[in-house]
Amino acid sequence: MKIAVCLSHVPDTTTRIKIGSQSDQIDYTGVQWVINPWDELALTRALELKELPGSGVDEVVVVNVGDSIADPVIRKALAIGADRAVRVNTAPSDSLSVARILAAFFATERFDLILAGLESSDYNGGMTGMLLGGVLGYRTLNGISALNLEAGKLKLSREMDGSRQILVVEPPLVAVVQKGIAIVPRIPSMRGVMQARTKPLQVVDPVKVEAGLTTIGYSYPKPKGACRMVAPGNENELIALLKTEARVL
Amino acid sequence: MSIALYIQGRNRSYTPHQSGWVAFASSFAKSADSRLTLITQGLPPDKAAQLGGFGADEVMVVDGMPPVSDLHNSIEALFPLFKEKGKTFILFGNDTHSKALAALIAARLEFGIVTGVGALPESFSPLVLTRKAFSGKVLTSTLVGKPGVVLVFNAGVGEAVAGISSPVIAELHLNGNSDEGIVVDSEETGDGKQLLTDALRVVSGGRGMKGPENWKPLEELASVLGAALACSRPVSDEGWRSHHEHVGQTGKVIAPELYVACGISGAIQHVAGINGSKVIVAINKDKEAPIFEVADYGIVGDVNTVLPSLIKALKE
Amino acid sequence: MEFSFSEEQLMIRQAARDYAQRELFTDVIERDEKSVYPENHVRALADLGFMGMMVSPEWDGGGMDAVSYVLAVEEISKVDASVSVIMSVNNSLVCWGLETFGNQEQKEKYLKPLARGEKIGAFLLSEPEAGSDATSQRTTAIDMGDYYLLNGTKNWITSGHTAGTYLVIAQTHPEKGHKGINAFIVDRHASGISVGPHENKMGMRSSDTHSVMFTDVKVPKENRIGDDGFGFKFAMQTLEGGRIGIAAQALGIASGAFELAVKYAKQRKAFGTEIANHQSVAFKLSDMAVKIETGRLLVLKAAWLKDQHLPYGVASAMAKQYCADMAMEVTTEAVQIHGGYGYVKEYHVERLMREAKLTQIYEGTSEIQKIVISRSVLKD
Repeated sequence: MKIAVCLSHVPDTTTRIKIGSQSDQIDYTGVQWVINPWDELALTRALELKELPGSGVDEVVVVNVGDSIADPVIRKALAIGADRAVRVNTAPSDSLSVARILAAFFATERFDLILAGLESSDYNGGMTGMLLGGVLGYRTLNGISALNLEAGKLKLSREMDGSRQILVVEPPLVAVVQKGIAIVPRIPSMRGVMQARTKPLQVVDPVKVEAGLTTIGYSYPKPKGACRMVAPGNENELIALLKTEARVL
Repeated sequence: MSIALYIQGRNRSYTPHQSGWVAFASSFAKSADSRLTLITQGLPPDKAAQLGGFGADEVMVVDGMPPVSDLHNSIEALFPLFKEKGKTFILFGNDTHSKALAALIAARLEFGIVTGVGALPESFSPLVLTRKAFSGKVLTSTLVGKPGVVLVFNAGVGEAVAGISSPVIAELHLNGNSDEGIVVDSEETGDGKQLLTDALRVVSGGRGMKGPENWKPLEELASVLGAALACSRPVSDEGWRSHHEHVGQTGKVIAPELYVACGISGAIQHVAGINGSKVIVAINKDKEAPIFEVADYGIVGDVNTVLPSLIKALKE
Repeated sequence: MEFSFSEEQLMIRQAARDYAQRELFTDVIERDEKSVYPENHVRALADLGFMGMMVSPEWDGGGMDAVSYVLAVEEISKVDASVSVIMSVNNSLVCWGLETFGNQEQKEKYLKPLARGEKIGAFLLSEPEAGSDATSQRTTAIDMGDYYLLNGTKNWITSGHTAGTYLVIAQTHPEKGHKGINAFIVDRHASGISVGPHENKMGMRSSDTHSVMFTDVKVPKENRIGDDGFGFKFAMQTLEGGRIGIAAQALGIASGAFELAVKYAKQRKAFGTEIANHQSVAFKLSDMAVKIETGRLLVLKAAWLKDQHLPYGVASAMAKQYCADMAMEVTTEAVQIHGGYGYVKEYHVERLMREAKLTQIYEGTSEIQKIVISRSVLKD
């Protein structure tokens, strides 16, 4: 079995996001790029599965759509334990374009299981994984919070709003995963860092797609008004404010 | 021009967020000078009609669909309906199932897709939408280059007023193929408790609660308010509470009307999960805690003394 | 001149930072208070390869350079110097000493498990009456023909209880003075070894520091490192590298306290504004930043020299002395910036201040470093 993990590179989640002087782009100067948190959990689970005795997982491959700025992040994924990496060489734009670019790659190499994170922590679109499944025509499921292998099939837990299903699915599958798939992301070991030196990072050209969406402007959200403080002991006052001023009670 | 909104019912009824989506879709349709068709699934006709009354012009009550996790066949079955009723806009809420269908229909129709929509467009022609990005750190204006768009609304949008429209109701039985490669091994339909993502009020505890044994007052406050319980990441990481309750960037993103943060410092990752809340109340003993920067109302004090008197005051 | 790090060095720094901030941070206060040995953390760091990170892969090590090592030690020390001292002793004293001076059999048998971190090593040099003055060893190792007979007491031994392998410095030929000293690999569980009680220390309270008593301990002949009488040179050369580790540790303690102070100063308000906006605080932070940067450059220079196989003894002494004294100053200021909060355990800086103090004392006091430095300065 071959597992692919779609991997986005995103600014470190604690980074302050700066808008460029023309307000039409983000100023990424000095930003530290990291693996998108959900993708990191997906990778962690893929590696856990591969390491199970007799798992039948031959390979875990990370696939990124990005320019060379993503390389350090991709090599970190290799150091964490992915066997090889593919970078489709273009700066990512809207989610449908990225999904089509990814689908074109996956048409050239078949994977039994393709994992994608719930969303990327930059544009928070949360659509790329499902769109990929749609374009590719593979079985596609979102809300996946647990993933196991069972006799060549995939046993997964799908959390929907208000219910949860345990599903047994025949590959190939695109699974959009969320928290629970793994708890803590793996940290690369020294051995992993060393092995990453010789693992392949293949750079491939993208297919041409026309972006349907364009981000034309950025702005900062209005600062929130000052917090209205209520002295401890005056809880009655807080309740009155919530009733009459905020009108949420 | 035609606009369709899809809603899948919850336990044969609908949630406040869902009625909000109908109301919001309705104002969306009005601004676009268009009719709104509500497509429902998993709702009996009377409930669907009620839900449509929040602003739809027409309701298509669909039943007889493929199993819920058979997403491709679901889209296959719904496809003609979306194509007919949603020529310009196909709208969804942001629950898990709706997001799946949104993506699949967008891929199928080659529509652009914009998620996280929480406001009416800046303009319709050309279509420009404002949405949050980077977990609320910036707002972006997105230009949709060609007609035919799928939009996914945030929770908590829309001012839902019942019975403001009297939609035409049509029932539709759809048969779909089913995929034998997806087998449901077992299913849990929840414990009847309200869902964190549905709840209009949420009471949340952080590391400042000091330990799982101190959750009693939070549970009591939640029960008095009719609120759902949540927690910050350290709390679920420490195993004090289940990770299902974790709200924040990597946990659940929620948008209740009232969020009460108790002993939560307000790390940027936590705020990312709650900044869609209408009103935030923070109780924290550290007056410098960043949670007060995002809160609307705050009490600086020890949760162990503030919570009991808050509960007492609420009961009176 | 090249002041940038390689991608790998940055990756290792981030890995150490992730582990420290995510895992060590959660229970560091409790372990300090209760003096609990960080067993699970040592195991986890060993699995990540941090316990033998500079040892060649041939001997099951991580194969990383000294610059990477310094970056890792700094990140770990920002959160928990008890853990970083275990790491430092194992890496730069025990593993380095064995890899550099041990023979093939010794490396096969002893270095490999140490490099994998399956066993932890301890370096036994200090004695009740010979701390900084390493020449006057009272522990004796008498040549009995087939084996050495070891007798004496060692003090202040980091990982003294937990270690599986000891490197022991002892006197074989008292008449030859420091030229009669030898270094031995000793199994911690050999008969005749007794370990004293856990030292109740001011700081680094979760590392296990003990005295170790040897009573007629038989050490196989093949466990002597190098030729007869090589022990003093072994100890001195090993300590040169050890200083880089402790300098990096002191740097981490300082920069950890600094990060906390910056965060606090940007959050805490007084007189209507964040205290960072008060010049008295801002200038303190400025001074701290300059000192930390100076220390960092000294440590990295020493590590770089080591990586280039150039002499680094004086550079490492400078780094260690400066960083240790600097850590004491910077942590004291960090507590000051925190005011009353700085004096309580919850805010971490008081612990970092206690930890800083030890870096001025162990692996050669600041005064000993000044002897090394001044001798080199005054040399013709």
